[in-house]
Amino acid sequence: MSRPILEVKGVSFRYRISRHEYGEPVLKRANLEITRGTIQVLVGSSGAGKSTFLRLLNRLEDPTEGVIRFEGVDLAKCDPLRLRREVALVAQEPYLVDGTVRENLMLPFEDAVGGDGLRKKAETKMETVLHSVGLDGGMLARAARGLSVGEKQRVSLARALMTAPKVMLLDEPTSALDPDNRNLLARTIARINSSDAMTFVVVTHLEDFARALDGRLFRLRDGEIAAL
Amino acid sequence: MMAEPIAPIGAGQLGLTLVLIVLVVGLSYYEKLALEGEYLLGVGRTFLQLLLVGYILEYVFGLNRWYLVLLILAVMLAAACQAGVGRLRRRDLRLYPMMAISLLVGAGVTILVVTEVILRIEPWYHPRYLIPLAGMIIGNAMNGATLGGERYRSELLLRSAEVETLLCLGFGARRAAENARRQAIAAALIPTLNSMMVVGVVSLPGMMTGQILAGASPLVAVRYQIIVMIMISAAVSFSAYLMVVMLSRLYFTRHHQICYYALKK
Ligand SMILES: Nc1ncnc2c1ncn2[C@@H]1O[C@H](COP(=O)(O)OP(=O)(O)OP(=O)(O)O)[C@@H](O)[C@H]1O
Ligand SMILES: [Mg+2]
Repeated sequence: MSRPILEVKGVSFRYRISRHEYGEPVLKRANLEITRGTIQVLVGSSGAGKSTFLRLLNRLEDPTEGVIRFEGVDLAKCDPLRLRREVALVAQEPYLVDGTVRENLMLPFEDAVGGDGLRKKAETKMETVLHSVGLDGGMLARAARGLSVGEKQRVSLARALMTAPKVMLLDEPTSALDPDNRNLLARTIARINSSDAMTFVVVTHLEDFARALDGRLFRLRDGEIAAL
Repeated sequence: MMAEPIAPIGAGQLGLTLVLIVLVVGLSYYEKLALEGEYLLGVGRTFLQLLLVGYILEYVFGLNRWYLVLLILAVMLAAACQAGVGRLRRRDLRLYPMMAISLLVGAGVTILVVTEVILRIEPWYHPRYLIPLAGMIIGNAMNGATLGGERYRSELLLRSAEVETLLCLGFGARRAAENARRQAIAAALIPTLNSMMVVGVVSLPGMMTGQILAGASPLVAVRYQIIVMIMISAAVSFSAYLMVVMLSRLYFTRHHQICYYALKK
């Protein structure tokens, strides 16, 4: 068996409430191994710590205890900016910058090290990526401000897909989608997962959606992660 | 044009301000503002603090020693630092060095340019120029640093979704906080900008009024006022910028993570 792409070992986490004080534990010695190219589905009640768990995986927070490894390397030793381009997180609340949908999709390439070549390549990808989240190319010129919440959610997912990360962390990606678009999203995730071997960790509270995703199911409860 | 000598104010005349004081107290009593106590305390402090400062300045002007002048500037800086941190309403010891540096550099550079490059006062520490100008500069620098700092904190909290999204896309804290930083520095400058727009039209600035009352030619007074307006805008923007940049070290870790606990009041 190959080495897990992400490995969570004995991770405990408490948010800081002041410089020297910590709040209640959100995670208590949680463990999880994520195999490359799989879909992991995480469920749990509101406030259980699902978003926090995803934030730990792309190093928006650091564990209070334990280690998380990405491709065998302790996250504490990874450059967070590079890590976040490989382990992308799409937040629960979509945020789009002021401007057009096109500008939002190109945003990750703003300071592209690869320069113009990379940007040109990205531009040819925009429509395909939009299609994959159920939006059409005509959307590109629309102002981000005028989109519905569900459209915003899908544009923010498309924006994360633009950089083709190795791992995609999706926090409640269906919260503003109707059943048709939920099904489309589940199919999209399955397709990208099998074609690009992209690893997914999806947080959801919808049982239907969790089942449609056809991945490994976990529950986060009392700070621990258990397979279902 | 000959400057008339300034008319001195006697203790008796100062006492006659009582007429106005009584009227204000009467108004507060009549309208049940419940401000009598606070107002009288304010009056008391105004008398006490200003008379004290008057004596100190008279003494320092008389001695005319550079180290005394520098000592006074240091006391003003320390007091502004303490008051500025107090206004940020958060108890974090790391705020003191940040405020101190933003005042020291923001106000210091402005003081140097105004007194030594523009006015070229002789000797360089001439207390009659240096102390009042430095006082104005330090006071405004403190306003800039606190306005900018407080706004930066609230903008980051308000824009946490934006900041976190940019961090998630692999941008550094500096880029992620760009809009918040811009808003904060602009907010610190707005009062100064507003006063520059109406200066001399809607109101005569206090310093200029004072110079004219003291017998200076209005033509001289406005030149000083022009320098004062420019120096205030410089002090405000330098110190606000420095404060905001330094506060980033409080609000972000070096791993480009937001410190939510530090953003909360
Ligand atoms: N920045 C923060 N500072 C302090 N406590 C926090 C912070 N963010 C979240 N928490 C707390 O941590 C716990 C877990 O929150 P989290 O957002 O991870 O839950 P969740 O499972 O994603 O919930 P939901 O399903 O409602 O999104 C909650 O008790 C929450 O109040
Ligand atoms: Mg959540």
